[in-house]
Amino acid sequence: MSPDAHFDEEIYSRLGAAILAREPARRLEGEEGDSLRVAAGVAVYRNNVRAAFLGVLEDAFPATRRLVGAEFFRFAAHEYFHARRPSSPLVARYGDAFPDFLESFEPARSLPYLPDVARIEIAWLSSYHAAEAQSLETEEIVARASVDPDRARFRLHPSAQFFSSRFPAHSIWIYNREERQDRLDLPETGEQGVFIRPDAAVLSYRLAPAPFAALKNLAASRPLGDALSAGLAAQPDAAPADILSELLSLPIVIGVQTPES
Amino acid sequence: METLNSFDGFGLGLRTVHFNDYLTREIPVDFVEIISENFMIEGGRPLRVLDAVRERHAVVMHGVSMSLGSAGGLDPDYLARLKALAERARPLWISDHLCWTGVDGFNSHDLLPLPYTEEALDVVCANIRFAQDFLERPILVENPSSYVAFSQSVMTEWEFLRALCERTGCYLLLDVNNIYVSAVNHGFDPSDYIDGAPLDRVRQIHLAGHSVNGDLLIDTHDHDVPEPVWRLYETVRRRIPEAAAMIERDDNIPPLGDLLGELDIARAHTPRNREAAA
Repeated sequence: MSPDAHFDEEIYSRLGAAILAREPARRLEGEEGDSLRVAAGVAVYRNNVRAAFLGVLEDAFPATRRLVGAEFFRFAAHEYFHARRPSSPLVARYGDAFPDFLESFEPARSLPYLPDVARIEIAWLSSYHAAEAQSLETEEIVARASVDPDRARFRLHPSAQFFSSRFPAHSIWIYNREERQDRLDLPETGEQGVFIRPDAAVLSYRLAPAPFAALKNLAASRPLGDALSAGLAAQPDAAPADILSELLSLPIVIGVQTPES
Repeated sequence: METLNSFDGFGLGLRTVHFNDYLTREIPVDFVEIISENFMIEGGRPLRVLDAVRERHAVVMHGVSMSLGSAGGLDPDYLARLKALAERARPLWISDHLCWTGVDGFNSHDLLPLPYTEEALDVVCANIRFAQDFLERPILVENPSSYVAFSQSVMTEWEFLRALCERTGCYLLLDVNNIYVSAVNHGFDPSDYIDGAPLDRVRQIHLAGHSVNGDLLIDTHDHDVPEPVWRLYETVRRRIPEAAAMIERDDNIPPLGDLLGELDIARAHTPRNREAAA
């Protein structure tokens, strides 16, 4: 190693800092040419980096963007860039903290459901990029669990991504993702459900509180008996048979384990 | 390092907006380039499309995140994911840029410029060797567009690239638009670049458009290939008869038919093809 091995890193740090800074640099030590020209060159990198990260967020959050408009979205993306220094080696994960950022983003306070819509978009994207797996047919699940249904544990599809909101955030998400213009009648309750990608397309299922709670318990490796109890606790007027038939109708189970198997 | 055979042909980048075209009809390209990072996922539509495209076309992998200029070395997790993707895509080769992408915990995902010093040369050579050993194949290194130059530089970019090839056995992805953009931005003659670069190491050629911003040209990949870049391409192709040439378009992406038309222009600008037609 050469005696001044840190030499290059200093140049990197200076350029990196100039790109990250809120205000454009007037000059940059070490770069060649007159200071105006150097500033113009650094500005290109500053703009490229900001435009690329904005593009990543625009691709990941189409419904969120439609809700707030392109200009406000750009402003929020700019503030996010400065609030959370991009560090992930995977650029596709850059937006993962964006919903939490929106939660505390004062200018977006008038849209309290906005962070949940953004969370739904993250869940959709995670499902879209998840590993492939083969879902079991209902008869297959029943046959495998029949030995001891209460104690059966289910392995769920790797693309299963849950969402829940105290707002009708899923309805708002679909309406904006599909760029609809018609009148939207929103329920006054919250919404919850799951994304599953059993084949090429991501499917979205809105669920009542009981099957949702039961499914979350199955996802946490709880046995079916406990999961159904949790479902009933979440929605006392639900019937266990209805919860079970709703669970079995989803293409979400890829494996069944009973104590004997 | 092993020898990498030339592949002669014309190709395009595989972009999401064109997925359906590739799935529903025969596309007249000799090879398809994928942006590696867009396919470094667990599953889903992009990988299914890649598998289908791979049935019909040769594939090359082009990355933007290796950060060959990193003084701290390369990220083994990144390389492991890249290698896993290569096992699936079975590419002709894997390429990335002569640049660095992050520092001090900041990952810019941009292609940032290096000072062309002996120290930087040592760093980049060590990184290329590490990548080539890890991936068990020689890689292609692409010349970047740049908007600032460093007073510390003691050699030209083409001298730097020549030294990289000689010391590591790597190959080049020559981006003709980037040569033109950097030549205008830094005031050198592009023909000096072409005379000085190790053209025998070039396996792939990128063609793209750029934007004009005051005195600076910016490599935006959002326009048709402009006339001066075509002229430079013709000069390059007289010296590199066999290579995989392609149009890069990443923004303001037109229908696939338009890009195929532009690829025909590239064929027409390839001296060998013109002579054959005459």
